[in-house]
Amino acid sequence: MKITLRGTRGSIPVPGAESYIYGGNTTCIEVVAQSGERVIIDAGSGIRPLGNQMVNQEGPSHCHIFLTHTHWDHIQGLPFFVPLFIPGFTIDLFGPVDPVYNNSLRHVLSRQMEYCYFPVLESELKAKIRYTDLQDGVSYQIGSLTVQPILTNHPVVNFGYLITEGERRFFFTGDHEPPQNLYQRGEEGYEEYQRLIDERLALLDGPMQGVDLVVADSMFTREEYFSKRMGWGHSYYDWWIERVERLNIELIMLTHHDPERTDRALDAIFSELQESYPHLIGRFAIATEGMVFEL
Amino acid sequence: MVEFSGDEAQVLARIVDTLPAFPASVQAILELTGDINIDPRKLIEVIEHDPVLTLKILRLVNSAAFGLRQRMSSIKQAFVYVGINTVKNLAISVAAMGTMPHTNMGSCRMELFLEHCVTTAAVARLFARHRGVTESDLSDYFVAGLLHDIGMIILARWQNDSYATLLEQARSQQLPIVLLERQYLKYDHPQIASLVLSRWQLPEQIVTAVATHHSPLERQLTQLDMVLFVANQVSKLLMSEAGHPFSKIEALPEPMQAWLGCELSEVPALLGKLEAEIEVTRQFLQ
Repeated sequence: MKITLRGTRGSIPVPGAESYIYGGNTTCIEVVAQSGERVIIDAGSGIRPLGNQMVNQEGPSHCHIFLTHTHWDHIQGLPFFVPLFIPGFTIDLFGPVDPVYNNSLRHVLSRQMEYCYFPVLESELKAKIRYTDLQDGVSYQIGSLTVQPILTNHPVVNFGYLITEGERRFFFTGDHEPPQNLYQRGEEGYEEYQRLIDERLALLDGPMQGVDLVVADSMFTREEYFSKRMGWGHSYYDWWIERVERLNIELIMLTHHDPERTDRALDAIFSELQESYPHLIGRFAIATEGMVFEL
Repeated sequence: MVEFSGDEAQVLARIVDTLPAFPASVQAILELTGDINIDPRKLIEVIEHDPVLTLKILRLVNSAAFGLRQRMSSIKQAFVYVGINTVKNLAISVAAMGTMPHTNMGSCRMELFLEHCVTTAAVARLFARHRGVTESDLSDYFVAGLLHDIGMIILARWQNDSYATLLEQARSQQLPIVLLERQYLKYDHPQIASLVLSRWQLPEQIVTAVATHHSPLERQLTQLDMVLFVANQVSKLLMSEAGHPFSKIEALPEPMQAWLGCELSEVPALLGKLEAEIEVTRQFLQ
């Protein structure tokens, strides 16, 4: 499979000179199967140039978009994804439902194309669009790719995706925060809560064991996370790097960059991480828009 | 407070018992979740101490909508798997909205009734905030708005056909339903509502505000009385469908008009994100 990072930014696009290297578009990852099918994970603003490319070049007119969740930075590119407007394209959309309000994926997505937000209604789009509500662990076969949604931890239901093709495996975490114990050590409830967290993490670690490539939400530094970002639904760099060895992950790309983070700041963070984990140099890097991986 | 005779009290008690409970935990959850810096441990504690609420939340988390591979058997486990935010939103939804019935009252469609209740609740909360009520007290305003007309549900079940006739008359003659209740029935819906809310052990200030929401000058007005009265009228102004049985707007008594300091029609513009608030509340009811 060929994986292209089309958007590496979290929260909101940040165009400009200070995001020139690592990229300013929000989350979008393109995965093209050996059999030719195209899977797109998330529809942040990075999906817009990809859509233009799909329309202007020869290639399949059918694609499969898997959404990790429907927070803005993961769907805001969708109304600008040109294939949606073109007859002859078929777009299969997969993602979680909104279980709190019991709304389907279609309902949630069509809301962002109501007249008050966008001039074209979802019902007016010309492509053939199909929606599939996903369930945790239930896989879909897309050509030679198997795509399995795996529940991760975020303030809304969020799926990571394990994509397998033969022996090669790629995992994208979507947005994910390491679950934290709500109780202090020694407090009643601590042990029970920790046991639940450990069981929960084992379910996440299992599919990541020995994976060739992980693209992981690492929005914060450890210091930022523990000082004021706990509960925001995102991870910190060290949490993932420490899993490289434990889970025998070949390579982790750290993504979902904070919009305030300039290229220089990301360079500095990368240098510090290399100093902290010299034995893992080459097994982690900062995700950069446009990067391509062949597995 | 109105007194009911022995037989009537029994009949009413039976009808009230057919409504879902509104336990103390609901109030606690609304108060806790009104604070953005909520201590999740307190939320766990409140939910776990209410077995009905716990079961309802777990049933939802284990439903096909969530599509989890693991079966959740405790609130703590649900926190770990689907996150604090989701459980918190489920708790609010289950807690506050589970109390609202979903059957029609005669020719009056329940969705109209619910729209009025939901809008009143949203206006009451936002208007109270506009008037400087602290965040932790806003839930009282919301609950009072949501439940202020609950007495109509009881009357419709108790009096059945004759209440349906009154609703129709209120609609066709554009009269406040409460006037017809007082003319033709022994009790009006605020009196009945106060009985229900007392049985649900809601805070006294909510019970009295609801009990006098059509006769506010019966006693010294509280801020909650005034906000509820105004919210009820504003909700009628905003209703998308005219000519429903509770659409007649009542004039503000003089002291309340002075307190308000503007026209009723000017109130929605003061409330900011009213549409969003109504939409969220409506979603919970679905």
